[in-house]
Amino acid sequence: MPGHKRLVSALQLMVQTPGDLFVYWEVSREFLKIARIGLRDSSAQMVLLLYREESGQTEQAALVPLDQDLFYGSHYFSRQKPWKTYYAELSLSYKGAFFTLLRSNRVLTPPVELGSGEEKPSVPVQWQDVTPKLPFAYSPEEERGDT
Amino acid sequence: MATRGYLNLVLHAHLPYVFEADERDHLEERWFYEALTESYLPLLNSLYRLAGERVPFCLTLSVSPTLLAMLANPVMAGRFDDYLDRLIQLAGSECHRTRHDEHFNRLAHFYLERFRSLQFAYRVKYRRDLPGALARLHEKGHLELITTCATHGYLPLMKTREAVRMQLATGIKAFTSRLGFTPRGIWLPECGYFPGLDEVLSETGLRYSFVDAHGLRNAFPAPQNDVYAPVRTETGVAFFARDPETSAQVWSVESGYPGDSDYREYYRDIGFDLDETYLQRYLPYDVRVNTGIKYYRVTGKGNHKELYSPERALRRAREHAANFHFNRTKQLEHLAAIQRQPPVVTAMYDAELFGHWWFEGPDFIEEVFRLTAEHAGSFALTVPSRYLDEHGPAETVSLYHSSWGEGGYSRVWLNPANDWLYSRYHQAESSLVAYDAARRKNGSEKRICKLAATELLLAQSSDWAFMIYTGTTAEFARQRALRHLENFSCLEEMLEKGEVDLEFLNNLENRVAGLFPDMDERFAPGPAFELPRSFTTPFVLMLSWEYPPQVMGGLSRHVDDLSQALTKAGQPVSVLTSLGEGSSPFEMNGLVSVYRVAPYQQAGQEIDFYKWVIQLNLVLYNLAQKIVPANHYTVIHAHDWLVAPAALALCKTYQLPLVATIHATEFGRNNGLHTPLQHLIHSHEQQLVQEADRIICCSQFMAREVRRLFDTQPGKISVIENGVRPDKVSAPELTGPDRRRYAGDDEELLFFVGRLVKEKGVEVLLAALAQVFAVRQKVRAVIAGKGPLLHELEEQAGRYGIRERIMFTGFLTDEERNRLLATADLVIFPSLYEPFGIVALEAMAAGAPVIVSDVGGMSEVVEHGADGWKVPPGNPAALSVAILMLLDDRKLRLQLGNSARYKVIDAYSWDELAVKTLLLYQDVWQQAKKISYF
Repeated sequence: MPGHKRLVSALQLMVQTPGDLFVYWEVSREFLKIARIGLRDSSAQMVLLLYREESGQTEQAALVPLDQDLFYGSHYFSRQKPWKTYYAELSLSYKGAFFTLLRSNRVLTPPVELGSGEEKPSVPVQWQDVTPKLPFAYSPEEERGDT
Repeated sequence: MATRGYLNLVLHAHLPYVFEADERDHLEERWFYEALTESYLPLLNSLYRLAGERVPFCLTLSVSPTLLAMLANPVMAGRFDDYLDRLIQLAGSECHRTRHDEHFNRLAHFYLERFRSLQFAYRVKYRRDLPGALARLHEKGHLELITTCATHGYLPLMKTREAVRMQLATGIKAFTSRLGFTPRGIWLPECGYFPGLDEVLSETGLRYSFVDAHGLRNAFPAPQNDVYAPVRTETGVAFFARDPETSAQVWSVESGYPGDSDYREYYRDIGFDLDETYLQRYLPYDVRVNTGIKYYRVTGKGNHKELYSPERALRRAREHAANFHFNRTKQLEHLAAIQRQPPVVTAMYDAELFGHWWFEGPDFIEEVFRLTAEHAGSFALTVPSRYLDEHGPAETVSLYHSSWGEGGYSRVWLNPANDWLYSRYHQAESSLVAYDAARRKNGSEKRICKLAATELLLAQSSDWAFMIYTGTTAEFARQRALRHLENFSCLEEMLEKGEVDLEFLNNLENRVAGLFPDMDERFAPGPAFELPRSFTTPFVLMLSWEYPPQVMGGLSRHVDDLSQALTKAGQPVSVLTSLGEGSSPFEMNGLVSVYRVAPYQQAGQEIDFYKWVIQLNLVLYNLAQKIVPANHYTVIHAHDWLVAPAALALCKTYQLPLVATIHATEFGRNNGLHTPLQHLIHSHEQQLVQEADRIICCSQFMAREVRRLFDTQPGKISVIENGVRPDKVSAPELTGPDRRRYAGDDEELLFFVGRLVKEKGVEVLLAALAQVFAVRQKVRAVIAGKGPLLHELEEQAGRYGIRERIMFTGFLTDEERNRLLATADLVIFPSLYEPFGIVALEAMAAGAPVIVSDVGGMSEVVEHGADGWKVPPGNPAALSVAILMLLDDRKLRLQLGNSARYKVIDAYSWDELAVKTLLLYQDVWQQAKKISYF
């Protein structure tokens, strides 16, 4: 159970084995409230989606309906393909379409026994951007001279 | 001498940090004392013996920073002395207890002598300084000493580059501080590698590392020499891979050497065999523990065990060493014949295997080295840097995710038993990146940040996830991980609240004293905005759906100009906005820090515009959560309903006051609410107006509209006009061929610029132009801007028969617009609804004579006949009359233009408006916090 007071909603995808991926998500109440109030469709169901990028195309690799709004949870995706790029989405499913709440990082499953002629995935896995800091942000302690 | 190849023996020594400052007989600390007694000291003795006899040998030894810290810890040195004393006493007691049994008694004496010898070596020979002893072997060329990550954190499952770098950099720094030299290579914890790790290794100056066999065999392209030559990646870092043959011969449970029947049985220790009352005199624990005194040998797979014979076991170890040496000779002979690059067999093991799990292991290694020296023509020993100096890596490949754990990937550290760790690790990683110690000027805050980093490092130790998975001391591991994460949370709370608990800090520091000497406080050196001067007031956080270079309408320019003016007045501003083409996620725009983020789906393609706006609010909210805690924001300023959900949520989350600017209303734009979407937008506007602490409107017209529509309290609304920067609109007029693109040399030019939407009244303008063009031939019009009505307006112009005399330019750059403003004979704004009319103000600032509808904010700005001309809205006839009259009166046009320019410069400067806004922020802040602030 996440113990952080002010949760930054997150969806994180991780590689377990060449064919297995793990994802966890954490969604704050305020975050989900924005989405629910905005959508105004109480029948929209929370779903977990896994996408695979292959030969320049993106295809849905898995869809996991969630019974209710889950503020945190995790899932293992099995029987996936080695040496492919994946990302996950936590979405609200409504009237046959999906509204994305969160999109995960992209991961590359490792290859297994590369054969000849295998095409190397062209999409690199990227680090998450770090939001820059403001170097001269005011601090109350500085103002009071408590340095 | 030519060699057939090389044996590269690599031992990795690691223990998690188990020092407990306040607990003298802490149970898990025994792991360290046991490893010292059974592995590290015996191995060191073997190596020093060889060195003393001048037997040539070399191997690579990785010593983890946590182990190094414990080896150098004077308190633990004292405790180890006590531990050895107790062991010697116990062995002595065993000698007495077994005095009537020749075989057991002989073994008891064996252990007594052994422990005394180890004690002598530790105290006298090495002077309790094992790191120093290792360093001396390194200096002599017998050891290539390297290290691993700070706390042996498993890198492939970390979320941020900063966390990975922190593990590596802290480990290297700790090693360097203790031993006086920088390691050339690194042992990756669990040989865990993932794509991109080599970049971080390269940044930290490392030359080489190791992966498991399949990690190299599955490289792209496939390596030409299998695992028998190192490779490099694009970054230049070299990788050696574990040889499966040498691995199986030692590690295999079924066929490996350690399982031989003559070797000492690990699981038959007197600590579990003898009476507890007897043992308690020597062991200060409430539970049974291994003592290191074991009387039995493996014997076979069953429970029956025969008595151990050290002499027989030593003979066996030597036989196995000979077998190992023979196999390496044949292996390298074969490899040398088939590959061009001199083959190197990299035999990688945990150091603790030798001595602790496999009691005779150190003897085995010693004998392997003796045999290698004796048969120098067979193969040579090497270490990675020596091999790389002489032969270099064979080829360049790309490596992928792998480890040497069970299954070859990450299953051991990521499975249903321990996967709960990672959300907590990752949250802490993200927080730490925000709370970078290097930014802190305050001494207490620096101290807290460094401690928080240490606690996260300790939480990340791969040992915890491993123990939880295997079930061995799982509860201890769970408690350790949680304890460090809880400590991190407490420290984070201290930073946020500014409440320092000195006792807590002192206790933590006491526990980790000496663990990471000279820890680099720049452990999270991510990108930082550089501000040329220091602001002394907290930041205002502005939310706007558009900001340059994303420009749909006046709002973008308003936010840009306002934020620039505020920073000029000394009020720092951060803007959160949408990321579009041509913009970057983070930038400094003058002194304004700009953060941008894009919704996940595309409006109009995957989701409709409204849902896109909601998604924008979700990503803005999430982005704000990464920056608000790390900086000091005191007011949130939202612009229009488009960012209302995020703004309202942020105010609630961080208890910050909210100022909202209402630039226009949905009701006003559409002259009523006619569709469900318009009602929806209206409800967002209503909520924003009701929940904001203060509202800003740009004109009295807008203020009245907001009061009427949303039943707002008196005094809640302030009117602060839009401003304009004359320097941003001044440009030379078009001449020659440039002008002829729009109109002939003898033709007059009429100009409209704005969004092509209903409320801008362009249809009215076209109807008026039809009348103008009917009576005046030498005049043309330019209609600039984009919007949903473009096609319809073009068709309307066609129906009027005036299409040829009107140019629809679409989007214009600022420069093109400014030049047209300078050139046009008249600039016309026939709006039906206009909260303010910033574009008209810009035209006035450019000195253009303007005709405006007598509506909304424009009506307040323009003084009819003095600095502009007003006409009734929606009246093409009146507009056409005004156009024709002004075209006939050049002198009046010049006069209007000049007056307009002076008026705008005088009354609508952003400097003045910024001061008004600052005063409003101050007032809001005072109301919210009941303190005098500025």
